[in-house]
Amino acid sequence: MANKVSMIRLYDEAMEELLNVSTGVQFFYKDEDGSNHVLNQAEDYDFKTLLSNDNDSWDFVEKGFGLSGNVILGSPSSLFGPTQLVNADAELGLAVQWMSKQSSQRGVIPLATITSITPNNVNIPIDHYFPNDKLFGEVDISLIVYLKKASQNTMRGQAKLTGTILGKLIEWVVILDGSGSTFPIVIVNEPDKPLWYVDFNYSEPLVEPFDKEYIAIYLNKAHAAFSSIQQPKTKLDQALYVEFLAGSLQLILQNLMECPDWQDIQNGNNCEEGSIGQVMHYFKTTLNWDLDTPEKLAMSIRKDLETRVKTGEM
Amino acid sequence: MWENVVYTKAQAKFKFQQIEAEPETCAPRQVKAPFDRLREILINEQKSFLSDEMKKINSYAFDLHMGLILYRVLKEKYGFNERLAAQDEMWRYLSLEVFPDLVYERFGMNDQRFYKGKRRIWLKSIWWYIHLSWQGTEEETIEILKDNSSDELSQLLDRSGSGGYRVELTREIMRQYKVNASSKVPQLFRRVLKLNTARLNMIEPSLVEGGIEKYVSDLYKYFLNDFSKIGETSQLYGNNTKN
Repeated sequence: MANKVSMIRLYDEAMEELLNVSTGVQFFYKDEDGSNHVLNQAEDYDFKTLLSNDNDSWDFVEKGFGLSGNVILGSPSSLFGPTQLVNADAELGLAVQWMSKQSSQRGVIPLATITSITPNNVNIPIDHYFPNDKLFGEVDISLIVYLKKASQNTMRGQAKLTGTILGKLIEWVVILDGSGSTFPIVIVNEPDKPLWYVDFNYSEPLVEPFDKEYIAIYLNKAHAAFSSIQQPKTKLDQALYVEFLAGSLQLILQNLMECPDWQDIQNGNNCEEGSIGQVMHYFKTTLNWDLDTPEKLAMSIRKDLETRVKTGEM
Repeated sequence: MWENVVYTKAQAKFKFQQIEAEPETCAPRQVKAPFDRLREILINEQKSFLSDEMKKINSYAFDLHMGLILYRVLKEKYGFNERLAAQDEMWRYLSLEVFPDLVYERFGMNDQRFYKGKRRIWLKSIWWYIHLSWQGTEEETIEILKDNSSDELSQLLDRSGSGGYRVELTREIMRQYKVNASSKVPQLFRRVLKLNTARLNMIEPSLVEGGIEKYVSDLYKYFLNDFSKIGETSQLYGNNTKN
């Protein structure tokens, strides 16, 4: 991703320390009777947030979801002054920004205004609901600070244009569909096809997500061995499961080895978050898969997967 | 009804290759309910539109007409919404299983228009064009869109900023375009969208003092005002989109 050089002063770590932000934000859903229920949060390996309720019955498509709570700014006046984020007579705003590439939509919801005389430990409530008919896939939600009113005496390097986003206080990437960063397995029902096969539709692996749109592993329901993989019970089932995953992942990696971006993938360079390249780099560095030759790869994938099946990790 | 639609890119590719073999006879023999009714409505609309010999299928007027009908029928009879419209899977299914002949007649065997192009799938593009331009009623929407061309349609979809569309913003850009389109500034729409993209790197339009309306009117003013009056603005934003 291209680096941006900012011409204006932005909210940084030093300001964060002085501002002393604490948040108490929960995700929740509304029931038909209007009552609110808190959703549990879990993080996947990519630090994305997965939501669920206690009996796993919540589904975004049926109920939607919201966030509510508050943010407390310990020392808001620390952001104001001739050498600070904005000058003393300017006004800052706090807003929730949401962005969902997969939903092709984004927006902001203004929350509060902060000035140089806003008292310490000010409590700003947050309450927003995303209806079930709006979003798809993932949504990136962040709490942002922006210039609401410019100073009459803006200092060099301070923002002048209202609406300028100066920084993020906190950010979540919430997964609404799917179970997080897992393998893109598509279940099909095709009597004339084998147990599994792989299909590639990617063109920019450093950008495109590791998702069934770009790389899909098809698992065939119509095949007699389907249940062994869907719910492995015996040792033989487990071995077949490992073979299925190892075989399909090897195909994916070997296909990528032939693409011009392979060097970047191996080194983890220029890979966007969640991209095919980033996930493959993760396989190499964190799971220690050996990508030197096809035979070394076949060996190391199986070794890794078999260990994880044995320890009950998979 | 939509939850049962599963149509991966691989399935789409397979179906597209089948159509490619015999495109002239690609009209589906049977369309699964409830989409059979949707097909009936749209095909009738196509026929009535083309019954006027002055009107052509390869035209912006056809896209606009079909877009409005599709938008209305999907919303009123098929519970369609933004969540569904964002999923290419739905559009691939409609293009290849419900309306392959219609897409073929409009664009020929163009895989981008059937299933491949992220913003190019034809049915998807005309739905989003209407959605991003919607003015509250069909009549008002037609009023602001009727004098546009295919260029505005593709510009709007392609140049509306990264990370997703700001629906309120695009609607205001379209509304004010109607007001300003008669000006003599060449390629006004394209320029306004380029300037918008540059400004969006820093600014969130709905947080600007004066809101989206003011933000958009500033975009148009930048090109409509006498060049001598805008020196200050151009210094502030430091861009060169006026070329």
